[in-house]
Amino acid sequence: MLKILCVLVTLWSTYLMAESRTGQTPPLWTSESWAEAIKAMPKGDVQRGEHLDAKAYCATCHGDKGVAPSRNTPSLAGQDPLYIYKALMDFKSGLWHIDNKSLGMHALTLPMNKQDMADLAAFYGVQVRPHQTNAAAVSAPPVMAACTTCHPASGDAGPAHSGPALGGQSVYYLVRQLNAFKHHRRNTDVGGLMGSMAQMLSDKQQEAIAKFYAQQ
Amino acid sequence: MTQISRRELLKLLGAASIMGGAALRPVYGKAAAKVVIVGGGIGGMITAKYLRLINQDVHITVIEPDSIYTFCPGSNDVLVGESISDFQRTYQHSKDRYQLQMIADRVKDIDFNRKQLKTGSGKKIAYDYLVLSPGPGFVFDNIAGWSKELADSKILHAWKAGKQTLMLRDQIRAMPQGGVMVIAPPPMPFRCPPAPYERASFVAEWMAQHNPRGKIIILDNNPGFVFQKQYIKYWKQRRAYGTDKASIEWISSTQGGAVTQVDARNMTVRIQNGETIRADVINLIPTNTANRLLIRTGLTQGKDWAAVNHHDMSSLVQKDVYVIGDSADFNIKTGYLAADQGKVVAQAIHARLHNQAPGQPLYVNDCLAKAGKDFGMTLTETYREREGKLQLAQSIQRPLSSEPENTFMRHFLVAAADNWQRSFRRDVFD
Repeated sequence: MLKILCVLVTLWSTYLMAESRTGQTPPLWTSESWAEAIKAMPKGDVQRGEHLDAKAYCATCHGDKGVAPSRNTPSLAGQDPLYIYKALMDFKSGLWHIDNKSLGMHALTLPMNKQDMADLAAFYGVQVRPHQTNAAAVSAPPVMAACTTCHPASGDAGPAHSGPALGGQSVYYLVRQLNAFKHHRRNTDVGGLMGSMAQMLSDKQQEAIAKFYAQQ
Repeated sequence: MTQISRRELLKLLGAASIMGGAALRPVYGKAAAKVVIVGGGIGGMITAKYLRLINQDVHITVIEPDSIYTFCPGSNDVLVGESISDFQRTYQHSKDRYQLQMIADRVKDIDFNRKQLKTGSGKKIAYDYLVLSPGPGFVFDNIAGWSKELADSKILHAWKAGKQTLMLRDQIRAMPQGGVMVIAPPPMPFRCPPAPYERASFVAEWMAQHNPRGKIIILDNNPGFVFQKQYIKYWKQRRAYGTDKASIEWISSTQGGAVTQVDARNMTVRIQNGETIRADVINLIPTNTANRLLIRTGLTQGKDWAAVNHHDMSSLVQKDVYVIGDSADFNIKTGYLAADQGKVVAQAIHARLHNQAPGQPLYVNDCLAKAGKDFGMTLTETYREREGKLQLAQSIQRPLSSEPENTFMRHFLVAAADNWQRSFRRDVFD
């Protein structure tokens, strides 16, 4: 497995070199820069996060206490705070720009500082992640084995913050993100790992994986 | 069920987008009606597109002299550095996809009895239904010393986006340090009510970086303006408004701010209170009326605007004629509303061709304005026609002037405005 990953990372770097990037593109995450960012992350305050959740209109799209009311936006309840913190930073820097829909989140994160982001992350982190009742009804497609290293089949966040919780997200949202990674429109992954993984997935496989996680 | 419901229309639209660039191939019957649309702007192109989406058995002709259309909504951004090409479209895509006959010409005269148009090149074009969406007419002679020629060369309006937008941008860039720009809004109603103030606000933001001692003076024909409280609050915070260091000054009509005279050689304007103001850039926005074609052909009955039946935007003066957009007698004039009116007319013509009732229209207007890169505002209004009268049904403004400051909303509404512009341009031309 490790061998495959190494090959993939090499392939990814080749892709990066081939792609001409302007100076305006925010730098991509490496393991080193991400480790630094984690060290610099302020301690989040749940109460301040709750206040900010209301003030910044988060609930409009991400729902009451972070449970999304529609398929378009992800639920944030019970998410790994580190992932939320990183997502907010990525929206602010413009790295997370799939298409112009991402500009809404970009605008909303512009007034935030790192403390605000850590507070929001803390607030969502202590909420209860949405669960589906018929989790057993869907079986994991074989191709999913590779995913579970960082996104456990339980739908929870991966060990040592290796990947966000995917359980309870909408199929639509998960497929949209997989596609964005596949076509390098979302480049927020550390070391380009998700981009290379998504490369290997067909539309059918994407759908099957998304359906599985959505039911967890 | 006699009409196409909104849901059905959405389905049709969905089908059209799945088809990608594929054309909607009409199958014309022998008696296929001829619909002629004058003006290839927002109102005209929306009418053509939506009529084709619901009816493949109608000939649609659009008469438009220009080969490139420049969107007015959002074009203030071009004055401070955005590329104008983002706002420009050719007609080729619409022509192919919606099977339109495009005629690059100007309409000179209309013979309502023979249902025939005469163009500048002498061509005669027959219609069964005529949709007039030619944009507003501009009045220059109510300001002494101003003329159409001056408006095209030195004392610009940039109230029809395109060449003048770029010329005004260059004038702003060429201003000396500490220079003065005058922006003079005309009396209401005029196309896009918040735009003069947005323009002032954008240029002030640009000046803060490039011409920090520069100043903008708004010389107004109106006692107040839309989003006034929000703009003034923002200018107080950012532009030292109301102090002697202000980079924006606003002289209302009640303070005698209306421009009465312009001297292009000495670059001065004279305003109603007798004051003379020297400026480096003079941006006069002309009084708007219905387009001259409509005045000439009697559709305005000697008044400023073309009287319409708000039930279906049909002319109250001539049969089988519809007037939409800035020329129509509607107290608000925006691109958003023109697009809504175009959809109402498409539905109305389709209904008439099938002997159906056109239904009860709901008009929606949305004004999305910005004060700067960090402050957006929206105003949504809905209008219904009841017993022959147009009534404002609902009006929602965000942020409310009474609302406590919310930096998140301010920022989000900027993104909302930019995204709306993009989606809107696609709705009209894609």
